[in-house]
Formats: sequence, C-alpha cells, structure tokens
Amino acid sequence: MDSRFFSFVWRHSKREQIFILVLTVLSFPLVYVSLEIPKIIVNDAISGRDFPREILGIELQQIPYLLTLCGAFLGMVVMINGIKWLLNISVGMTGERMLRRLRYQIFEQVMRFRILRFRTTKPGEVIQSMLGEIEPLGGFFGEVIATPAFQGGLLCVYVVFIFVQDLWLGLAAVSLYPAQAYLIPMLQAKVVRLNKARARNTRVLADTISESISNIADIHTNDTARWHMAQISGRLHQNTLIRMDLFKRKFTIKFLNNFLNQLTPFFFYSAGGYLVITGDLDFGSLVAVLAAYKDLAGPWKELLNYIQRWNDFNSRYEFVVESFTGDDLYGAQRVFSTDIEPLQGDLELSGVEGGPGTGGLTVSRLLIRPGQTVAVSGGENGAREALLRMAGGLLEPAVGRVTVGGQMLNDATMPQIGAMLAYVGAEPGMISRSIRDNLVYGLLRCAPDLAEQSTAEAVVLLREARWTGNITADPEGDWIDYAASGAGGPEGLDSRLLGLVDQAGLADDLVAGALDSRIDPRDAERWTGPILAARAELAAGFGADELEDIAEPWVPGRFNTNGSLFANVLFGLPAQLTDDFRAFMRLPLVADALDSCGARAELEAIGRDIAQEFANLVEAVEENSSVLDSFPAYPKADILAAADLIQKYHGQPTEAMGPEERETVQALALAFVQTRDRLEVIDDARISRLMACQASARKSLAGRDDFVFFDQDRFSPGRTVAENIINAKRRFDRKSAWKLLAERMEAAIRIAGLRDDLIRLGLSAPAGNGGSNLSATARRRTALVRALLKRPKLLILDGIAGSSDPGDIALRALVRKELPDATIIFATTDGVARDADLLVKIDDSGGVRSETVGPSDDHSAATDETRGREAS
Amino acid sequence: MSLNHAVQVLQEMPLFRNIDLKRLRVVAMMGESRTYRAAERLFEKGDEGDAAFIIIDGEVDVLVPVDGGEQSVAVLGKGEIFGELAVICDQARSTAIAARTDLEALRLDRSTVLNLMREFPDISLELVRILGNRLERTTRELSQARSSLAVR
Repeated sequence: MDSRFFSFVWRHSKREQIFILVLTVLSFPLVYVSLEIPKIIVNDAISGRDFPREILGIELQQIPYLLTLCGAFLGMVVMINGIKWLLNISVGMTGERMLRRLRYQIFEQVMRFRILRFRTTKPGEVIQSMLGEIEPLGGFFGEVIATPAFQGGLLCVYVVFIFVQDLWLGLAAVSLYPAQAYLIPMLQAKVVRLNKARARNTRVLADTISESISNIADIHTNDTARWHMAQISGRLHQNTLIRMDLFKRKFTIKFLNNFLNQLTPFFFYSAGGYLVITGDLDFGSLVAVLAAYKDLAGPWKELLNYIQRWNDFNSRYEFVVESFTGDDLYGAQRVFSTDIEPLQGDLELSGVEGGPGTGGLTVSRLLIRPGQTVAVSGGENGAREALLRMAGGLLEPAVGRVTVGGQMLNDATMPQIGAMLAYVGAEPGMISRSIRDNLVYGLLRCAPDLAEQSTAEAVVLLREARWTGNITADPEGDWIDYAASGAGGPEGLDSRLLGLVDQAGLADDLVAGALDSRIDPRDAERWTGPILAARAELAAGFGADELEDIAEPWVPGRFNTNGSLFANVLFGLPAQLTDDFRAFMRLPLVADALDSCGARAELEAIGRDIAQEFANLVEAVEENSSVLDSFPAYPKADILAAADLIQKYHGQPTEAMGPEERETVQALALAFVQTRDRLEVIDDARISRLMACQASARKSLAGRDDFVFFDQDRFSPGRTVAENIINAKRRFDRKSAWKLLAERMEAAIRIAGLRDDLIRLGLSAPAGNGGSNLSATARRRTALVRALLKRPKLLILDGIAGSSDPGDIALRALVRKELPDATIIFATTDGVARDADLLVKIDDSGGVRSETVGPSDDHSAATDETRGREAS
Repeated sequence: MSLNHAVQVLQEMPLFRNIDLKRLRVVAMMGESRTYRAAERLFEKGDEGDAAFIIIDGEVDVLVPVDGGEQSVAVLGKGEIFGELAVICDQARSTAIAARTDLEALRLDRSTVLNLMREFPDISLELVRILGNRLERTTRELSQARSSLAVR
C-alpha cells in the first residue's frame, strides 16, 4: 500500500484528476461568456440604437438580435450545467472508485496477515477502519487537484489584479497571509492529533460493540448487560471529550481565519482612504480593489478549508494504512500465487518450542510419514491444540521448524496449503450462505474469470474491477475446483456430496429441514411427480382408517376441523411461499374470491366473536400477563390488538371499523382452526354458509396456475413439502401420533426415491449467521465433509471424531475409506485409539513423545529417532 | 373437545374450586386438547416431565414395572390431573401412563403450568394441598408396608 495519501491518489487516479482539472479550466471561459451575454442583452439588444447588428455575417434587427442573444444565453446555461453535471459525476465516481480500491486493498492486507496478528487485530476495528474511518475520503479524492488548482488560480488572478491597481494595496491584501500560513498549521497539527485519537477511540468502541454482540449468551447468563452498557457509555464519553476538544480547536481556527480576513478591509479603508485623500490613489482604483478583495475572500476561504481537509484526510489515510501494514505480513505471492508446486512428503516438527499460550509445547523431533493415522493424546492445557494447529500451518512455533517434504510450512503458499491439508476444529468457520456452499467451501479455489464472460453485467463488473485494482473474478460464478474433488463435473460432485452427507450423518437433519420447507412456485412443477409417488407410498403404508386417524383428509364440501378457515373457504392455497394470512388476503386472486363468494361478512362475524373471546381472556388475567405468551395458536400481540378493537368498538357494528381494522378481524377468522383453538365461534349454520362459499370459490378459482386446490394432483407451494406428501391436515389432538406419521413418511420417501431430492433441497437451505441454523454437531460434520470433499493429503481433526464411541470410530473409518493415502491426525479425547498406527502423547509439561502401534519398519524408525532425542 | 366442555370438567375439579368461570376458561384455552385411543401410551417411566394432563373424558392406567411386565396401580378418570409433579419438580416421569379407554385430555406444558400458577396463586395453593395429601398417603402406605414387614 502507498504510505502517503498523495502518492496513492496520484498513482491510481492521475488520468481522472487531469480530466477533472481540464473540465474545470474549460468551464472558466463559458462562465465568463455567460456573464457577458446578459450585459450585452441589457446594454445593446434592449437599450441599443441603430440596428441591424451582425452576428457571424448575418444581419439581425432588434427583436431577432434579442432572441438570438437570449438563445445563446440559454445554450450557455445548458452547456455550463452540462459540464457541471459531468464534473460532479467525475468527482463522485473518482472518489467512489478510489474508496473501493482503498477498501479492497485494506481487505487484501488483512488476508495477508500472519495468523498471529489476529490475536491483536479485532474484527470490529477492521470493520470500522474499512468502512467508517475512510468513508469521508470518498468525497475528497476527486478534488485533490482540481480544488487547489481552481481556487488557487482564481486567487492568483484577483491578487494580480489588485497589485496592478496599486502595489501597496496589493501588499495590504496579502499582508496577513503569512500570519495565517504560520498560525493555522500549528493549530491544525493538534486537530490532526485529536482526529487520530478519535479514530482510535471509535475503533475500540466498534470492537467493544461487536464483542458485546458476540458474547450475548454470556451477557444473559451472567447478568452483565449493565456492565457492558457502562463500557460503551465510557467509550462514548471519551468520544465526547475528544469531540469537545476538537470543536474548540476547529472553531478557534475558524475564528482566527474570519478575524484575519476581516482585518484586511480595515487596512483598505484606513490606508486606502488616506491615499485617496492625499491624492496618491484615485477613488475609482480603491473601489475596484475593494470589489476585487471581496471576490478574493471566496477562493481564499475555500483554499483554507481545503488545507484543513487535506491535513485531516492525510492523517486519516496514514493512520489507517499504518494499521494494515507492517513486517508481519505474508508476501502477496504467498497468498495469491496460483502457481502451485504441490507439497508432499513427511510432516516433520523439529526443535519446536510453542512459546506463550501453547502449554509449554516442546517437540524435539516428530516425524509423521504420509498415510499414517496418528492419534494425539494429552496436552489438554493447550499443548495438543497448539501441536495440531502447527501441523496445520495455523500457528508458527516460537522456535523450531515445521516442514512438509523439507519445505517450511509457514513459507508455503496459501494455494499449496489449501490443496495439501485440511483442518477441522471443534468450532469450524461457517459462511452465511446455503449449507451446500458451506460443504463445497474447501473447493472454492478456481476463480471464474470475468474476462471469459460476455454478459453486459459481467462486462461492467470487469471494467470496474480493473479500474479499481480489484480481483477480476465473478463472485457468484462457479468457483469449484472439480479436479481437486475427484469429481469430473457438477454431476459427479453432486453424487459424491450426497454420499458423504449421508455417511457423515447429516442427511436425516437435511431431510427433516426440507420436509418443513416450501418450494418456490417456479420449481414446483418438477416436484409434482415425486411428491405424488411419495403420497401414494405413505397411503399404502397405513391401513385404511389409520392415516385418517392421524390426519384429516380434505374432502370438497366437508368442513376440515384441523384446517384454517382460510383453507376451508378456498379449499386450497395460493402458490405462494408464505403462510401469512394477511399477505394472502392482499393477493388480488384471494381478495376477488373472498368478495365474489360473499365470505367477508361471515368471516367478520366469526372474527368479531374470536376478538370478543380474546377480550374476555385479556380481562381475566393481570395486565401484561405471561399467561398470554402460552396461548398455543395466536401470538400475544394479536390477542391484545383484538381486545383493543373490541374495547374501541364496543356496541358498534363491525362496519364502523376502518378498513385495516376490518382486515384484522377477518384475518383472525381466517387463521382460526377449530380443533386447535376450540373457541365456540362456529356452529352448523356457519359451517354450511362457509361451505357454500367454498363451492363458489372453487368455481371462481378453477383453472388458475397460481392457486392449487387440495384435490388437485399438483404440488402446492403454499404447503410445506411434508404437507404435500400427507395431503391431509395433521390432527392437532393427535399430536401423540405425529411421530409415527413422520417415521412412515421417511419410509415412503425412501421407497418413492425422493430422499436424494430432499437432501438436495435441504442443502440449498441457508446455514444461517455463523451456521446458526445447524446444531454444533452438524456444523462439525459439515466441516468434516468439507474437508473430505477436497481430498487433502493431510487431515487434522481436533474436536471431532476423537473418542472411542462407535459413532466416532465409524466417522474415522469413513475418513480413512475416503482418503486411503492421506495422513490423518486426530486428537483423541479418551486416549483410546486402536485404529491409529502412531500415538503421540503430550505430557503435562508439554513434552511430546510418539510410539508406533503395529509392525511397520518405517514407523519404528520414526519412533527410534524420537526416542533417541528424548534420551538426550 | 369444545372449550365449554373442558371448562365444565375443570369446574368440578377441587383443584380449581376457587377459580371463577372466566379464569377457568383461560386455563382451558391455554391447554392443548389431545385425544388418545384405548391402550395408547401417553408417556413412559423415565421420560422428561414436560407437561401435565387433565382428563376430560375417559380413563387412564397408572403403570409401574413388575418383574418382566407392568401392573396398573391406579386408574384415573374424568376431572383428575396427573403428571403435574414431574412438571413442577422438574423430574423424570415416575410411572408410565396408558389410556384405558378412548381418552380426551387437556395437556398443559411446563411453561403454561408455571405461568398459570404465577397468575392464579389459588391454583398453587390447591396444588400444594394435592401434593401434600399424596405425600401423606404415601407416607402412610410406607409405614404400613414397613410394619407389615416387621410383623412378618
């Protein structure tokens, strides 16, 4: 990174800066002409005599002459504003692009940090530097050269004009500039220091905030919210103090500037007046000088302002750059070179001392041959973790060497390490994208070059990336290194992924998630066949009445006591990815159907009864009672809102309510499920009226693509996948039997061949922030599959598959089967590792010794060397 | 099961004798209605005690294991509550429960029971009384069992 602000600006935007300057200079004569034309219009075209006048060889009478001049004036205005428009866009875009470049450069630097540096680099600080601190620079980049050139130029013209009028007055005009030039920077230096202090404090504040958010669980369990609030308050107070100091200095500078600027006219009036009176200066010249000085004040003020900003932004830039440079960065080559020479051979640690925080880890010599299964035990005080992290290139030893095939692991490039090894910790990093993206994360290594794409979007993306020194890869393109995965292409990878997900025990969770999800209406059609097959299998798996005992079927004309009134009235659902009744009601097709079948009045009557029940409920309990939180069907907010409505419209008909309130009442009715809610708001008469509405709605909604009836053999996007398979409403009073239904469904899905599709659907679900949609176990298994997919030569497992439980042993067997030639190092939690062929034991003081299990010459050689060292 | 029917049953229970009708309706609304077929099991001994049940219609067997099988030690009927001990004391189920006939029950999960106890202290007092009676009965049975052992 450029350490100085100006060299950064000049290196990356000289063309733009010159363009802006040229544009600025070009606008000068146009502005001059635009001021001149009105003068000619007034003095010549309107007040003039003796027409015609000649313009470009054409003789014009007074009116045409006036109109021509006015036309020219209008043209000038358009041109000037056009140039201004272009100028503003150029300044803005130059700033934005430079900002993008700077932000990208900072992130690039962070990617080059050695792991150790992250002990002192906090995420909140990086975010604050990248986004907050440099943001104001964006507005400044574009005017770095243009403003001083333009304002300086104007200033020079005015000063020269004054000097030409009178040498002494000229001297008077600039007499205080040296004082300003001396005083201001002095005061400004302190302002710059304060700005840095403020930036530093804001970084700590940003980090304190992000620390508080990430520790929210501990805050809740330790009741430390107030402590954290006090910490934030303390930082905010520091900010206020710095700001106060800053304001004082800043406005002192402003005061001085203003004062000194006003002092000059004092000289003009006193000295100039004296000269005029004594006859040494003519009156006209004094007036002209005064007018020129008035014009002088503008550019001078702008220049001073510019200098202040220049100082501020220079220090800001340098402060940020200092934080992201240093000697402890890996060379760019190590991080970004894709020219891979694969790492292979023995993994060797020799003369290693871990240093602070590694539980006293010392390894005189540890040799691990390719293909060995190594169990590491002991060293719970941090030595084991440190050893495994060193083997993974994530930690540099304080003393000693960690090598692979003789090459220092810490000198290896990121692509070399990425291709060679995988490290699965207890808390693997997850990206907040789909689960599939998290699984293939280890393969995202083939940057899809934008230059190979021809869409308009890609062309713009590429051009901007080039202008700003960003990576020229498509962020949403296919990054997968299929060769590394051993799969020829997307299909091969897909089947390998499904196999691994199943074997690693992730598939059941994925299927369960998929069953509860909805499918986009655009994809719905291809699900119809498989879902109908699974539906048939499910029905076949149950006896005739058995399924009906657990789920109530939808029969046209028969009220379904487990379905919502909405579903009962329409006998189907809109093809929408929601189950929000209010959203449904606003769909034109639903609104029309409800209107035309005359259901609104009935729904309002029922909704009003429900609201009345809620009002009684609210009346029966204490204010803000937690009892309302336990109500199974309706959220507390809805209950309270309904009670409020009843109170507000006591004794008045529902028609008196506003449109939104009536919608609320109708929504209460539409969400009502008789078996679940049990309120006596529906009797036979109402049911028969609702069924009459159903018959009419069935006619008006027939044949529509965006609505699916329950008796249609079509996938219904309004229902979850499970509901589509069951094709009936699970009985709320038979929840005890739902588990049986789920088991039968699982079997039906397998028989119908739908399981793989459901796993795929589960894979496309979002993993959540930090993988929050997955359990901790699922996250670890995701990371394990991620590691297996890229087929590393060295796999390190720390915190997964480490015990002698059958499940963990099976996972290790899976790992060995998938990676027959790889070195596998795992941390054993209970010291039992019958499947290992090298045991590495770490004692309480951090000493490491290894012993070979089973007869192998190679291995015993390694052990002997280790023992030899220990003896010495 | 309609709400009114559930309220009628609750009204006759000693547990709710000091609770007025409006509040009984709240209790009924807070619960979930469940139906079980004869012989269906509600929970097993050792299960987590996540809910209490009030019988609205039908009967259940309280089952304890006896060598190789199990034996019904009590039959509970309409208007009786069970499972509340495990909920309040955060314990595992001490017995298994199976429907003796087709059964309708009101299921109150742990948070609902605790919320209702907080909201209506009379319910808490009645529960203390019920549990006290049960303890007294168990103690009496235990001392009888001991003395019969001593006589032998």
